[in-house]
Amino acid sequence: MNPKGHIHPPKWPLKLLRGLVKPHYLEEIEGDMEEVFADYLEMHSPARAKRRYIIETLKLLRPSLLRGMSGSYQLNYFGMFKLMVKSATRNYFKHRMVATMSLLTLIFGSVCFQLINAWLQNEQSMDQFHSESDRIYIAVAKLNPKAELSPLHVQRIFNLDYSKFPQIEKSLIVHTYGEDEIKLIKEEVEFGGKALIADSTFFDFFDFELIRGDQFVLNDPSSIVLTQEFAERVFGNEDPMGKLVSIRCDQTGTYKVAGITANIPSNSSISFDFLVPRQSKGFWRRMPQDLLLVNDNFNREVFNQQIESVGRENARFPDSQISTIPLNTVYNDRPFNISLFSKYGDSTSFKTMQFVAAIVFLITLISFVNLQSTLQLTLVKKLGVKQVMGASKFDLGFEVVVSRLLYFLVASGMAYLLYQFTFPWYVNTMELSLDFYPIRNLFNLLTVIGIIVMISIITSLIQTAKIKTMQAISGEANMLKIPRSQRVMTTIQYSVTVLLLVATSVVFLQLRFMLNKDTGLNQTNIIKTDFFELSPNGAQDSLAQQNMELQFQYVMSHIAEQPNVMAVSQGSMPIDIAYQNDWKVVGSQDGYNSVNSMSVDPHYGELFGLQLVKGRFFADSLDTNNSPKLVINEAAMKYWGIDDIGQVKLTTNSRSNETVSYNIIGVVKDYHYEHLSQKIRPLVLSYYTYMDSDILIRVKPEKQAEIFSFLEELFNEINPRGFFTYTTMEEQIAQQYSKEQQTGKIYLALSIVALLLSSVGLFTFAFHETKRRTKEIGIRKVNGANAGNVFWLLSRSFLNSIIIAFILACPVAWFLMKQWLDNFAYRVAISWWVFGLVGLLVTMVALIAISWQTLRVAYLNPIDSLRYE
Amino acid sequence: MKKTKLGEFEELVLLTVLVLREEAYGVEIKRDLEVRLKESLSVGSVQSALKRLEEKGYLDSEFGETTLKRGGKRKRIYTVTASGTRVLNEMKDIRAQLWGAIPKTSLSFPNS
Repeated sequence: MNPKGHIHPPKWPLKLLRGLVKPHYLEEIEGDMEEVFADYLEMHSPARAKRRYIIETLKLLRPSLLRGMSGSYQLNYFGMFKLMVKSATRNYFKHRMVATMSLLTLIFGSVCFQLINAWLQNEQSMDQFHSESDRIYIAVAKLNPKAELSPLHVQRIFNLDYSKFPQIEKSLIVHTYGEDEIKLIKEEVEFGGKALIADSTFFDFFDFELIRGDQFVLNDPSSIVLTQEFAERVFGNEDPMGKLVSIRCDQTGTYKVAGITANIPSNSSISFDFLVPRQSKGFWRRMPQDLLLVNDNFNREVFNQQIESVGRENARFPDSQISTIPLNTVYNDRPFNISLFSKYGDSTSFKTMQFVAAIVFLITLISFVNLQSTLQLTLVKKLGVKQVMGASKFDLGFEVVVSRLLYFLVASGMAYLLYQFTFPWYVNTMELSLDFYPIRNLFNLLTVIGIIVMISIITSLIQTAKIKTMQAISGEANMLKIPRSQRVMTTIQYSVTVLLLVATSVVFLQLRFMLNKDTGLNQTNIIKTDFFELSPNGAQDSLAQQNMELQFQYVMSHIAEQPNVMAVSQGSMPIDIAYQNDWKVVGSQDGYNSVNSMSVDPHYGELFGLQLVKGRFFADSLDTNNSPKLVINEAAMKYWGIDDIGQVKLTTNSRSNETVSYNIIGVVKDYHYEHLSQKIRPLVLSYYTYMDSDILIRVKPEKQAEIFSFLEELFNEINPRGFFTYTTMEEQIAQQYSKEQQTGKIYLALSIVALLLSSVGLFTFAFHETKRRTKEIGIRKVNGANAGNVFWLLSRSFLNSIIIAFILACPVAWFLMKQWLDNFAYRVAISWWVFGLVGLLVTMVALIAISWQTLRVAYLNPIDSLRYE
Repeated sequence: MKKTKLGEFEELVLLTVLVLREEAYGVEIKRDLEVRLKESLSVGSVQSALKRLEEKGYLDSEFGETTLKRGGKRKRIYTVTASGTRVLNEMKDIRAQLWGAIPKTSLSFPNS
């Protein structure tokens, strides 16, 4: 017996052949190969035979023998694909209602999601485009342990030489001048813009893109760099490069435009309209910030310890502490408020928005998957017939995939169009600063829609796989019932909807409460404006100074004479940020404490209608500007435990070196001068104004327009080339609560989306359910049921899921909103009627969605419903 | 003439099918050719030639008997069709004409 008879050829080449070679050639070729293997076995060792066999098999893989190639009449999938596309389109038009709804859900939901996502991405990428962003630190100091951290000009104040530290590569001193503090003048026309007066290292720190000029442009003290937007504002269509402009603030000078930067991207917290080389003038009056670019040897803790006590060598600051803060934490942590940064982030809103984005995604996903599954249910019979005709499970699955791919394509295209239209509107309404990135946004939209469609494909495939042919054809009732999982999903959707509606109501109630709360101030019809600016070089130019004083007297008396003006005063608007000043009671053991302070003049009390509890307010006849007298509020009185204001004097360490005792001449009743999330804190008012202090005017009701035109004329008389600007207190209050307003708007928009999408889901269920039970209803009606009975029979099951959703959502909503309201010292109570109204609203909308279908069936003539199918 | 496109290897295979008669199936054709040509051939090259010839209509085929060696698979026995014979004859004629047209002096040259 041939011992080699037991040796078999390796298996895998055969499998390969079976997979690739045309099926009707297989038998012959397989046989040939066996025979060839037997031949090889006679000639060679088994191993060699196997090797040759494998090589021989591989040689068989040539075009004329392979499947599906040249001239073959084999089935490829294109024909099938064409058929699927056709049948998917037909299905769409046959079930137009449900199909259109699911398409709209997909488009609408994904666009909503992407709108929020765009903001989240912008926020997340904040300042990341600076390649050195995590190596930049800002020097900060505390003048005493209790003082607030502030980004002082550490280098000069404390004599700190950064070049002594090897771990610091470069330093950058930058002054910020706000729009009303510096003017750029081109051919005698003034333009206000935010300017950074920066060292030549600016472009080593920050990667703002230069369209014209190179990064060494600030080395030349006669250069100035403009942003593209600002250059267009100043020069219009002219080429700005090489043109001469001058600037005016506390310094004046002429510069040549030598660089243009691209517009500041929306994900930059630092902004400017133009850059001025700092070395062009010897002294700039605004307090600058010190920025440090460090190298890899830098360790923040070690460095902070090294420099902490450097400032104490100066006798003026025995308790000072110097440290550094990473620049990229400033945006979110907001350790101080400086105008170098045009905006600050807020981790709470970021988290809220993330949560909101997740909810939108979830709701869209649930809606779309539910709608498609319901649609799939109506196709069960068709699938059954297909299976009988010989379609395999694979074919049925393929059909699902093709139809969803069509949804994907159509939805992506339309969503992108819709997104482009809604984006500008969204940015305006929500008052966001956000750039539009077409490619990235399209990619995000595709991803979102893709994920949703994928999940719906998977669920539908599972659904199809479960179908048993016989049951499907006979239309067995259980097959067509909406699965419990889908009902649970809808309940969850409704819970979220209720949650959002409650949140929206509470946010708006709180907002209304804050806007209408009596602050203790007369805050209507008050205008704030500003006529005078810091004069160049301060008091050195006495002629200009005198001139300005004359003008000042002229302006103030003119305004006061106006019949429509009820009061004029100079001082800080209560909503503006009070400055922190260190005060202590003379003779007490306590140290200095930082207390909110504001500078006012004697008419301030009259203007705002402040009520006095003790003593008197400042008066022109009794007090002079900058006299050591104070008015405090009740909270401050409690804070220092003062009983008799005549016995107590206060002193401060920050206005002058010598110790001056301040008399307290009066106590005003507490009024709200801060955001209502704060309790009323101690406040110290002092008579200390200057010509550039804000001018506050109370006008007679409904006479504002006249006063505005009068003020503008007066302003142009004094500043012929300037722009008159003003704000009203109402505007400022609205501005103060703009964040709450924004939250409210977001919640409102979102709850509408949620309510709509959930209702669409419910509507589809009702649509399907009524169809399924048409015959049953006919029989019921024949047996004596009336339309009302039928209506309730059909609606009850849907209303049940809403009630469950409501019960689930209420405690969660109550808990979450209570947490939110805890942020506010003054807040509304969450009353039960909010829940009642929300419940009513949701039920109403749901009933409308259901009754569209159920009412129709309920009133159907039983003859028609019995003959149905 | 134009329609008969017959490669050299195809012509050899076609002739071998004629020679082998009832035994003309894939591996046997390969063996026979290997002996005559004194070189080894792959199953793939023979098979693809056979398929091409069948497609062109020069060969016909039907399943034959099975042997133990083939693991229970049937052989496919090829027969040459009428158009196949015609094409072979045409080729032979053309060759003969060409051989006849060669001047005598040139003939001794290739044999050297």
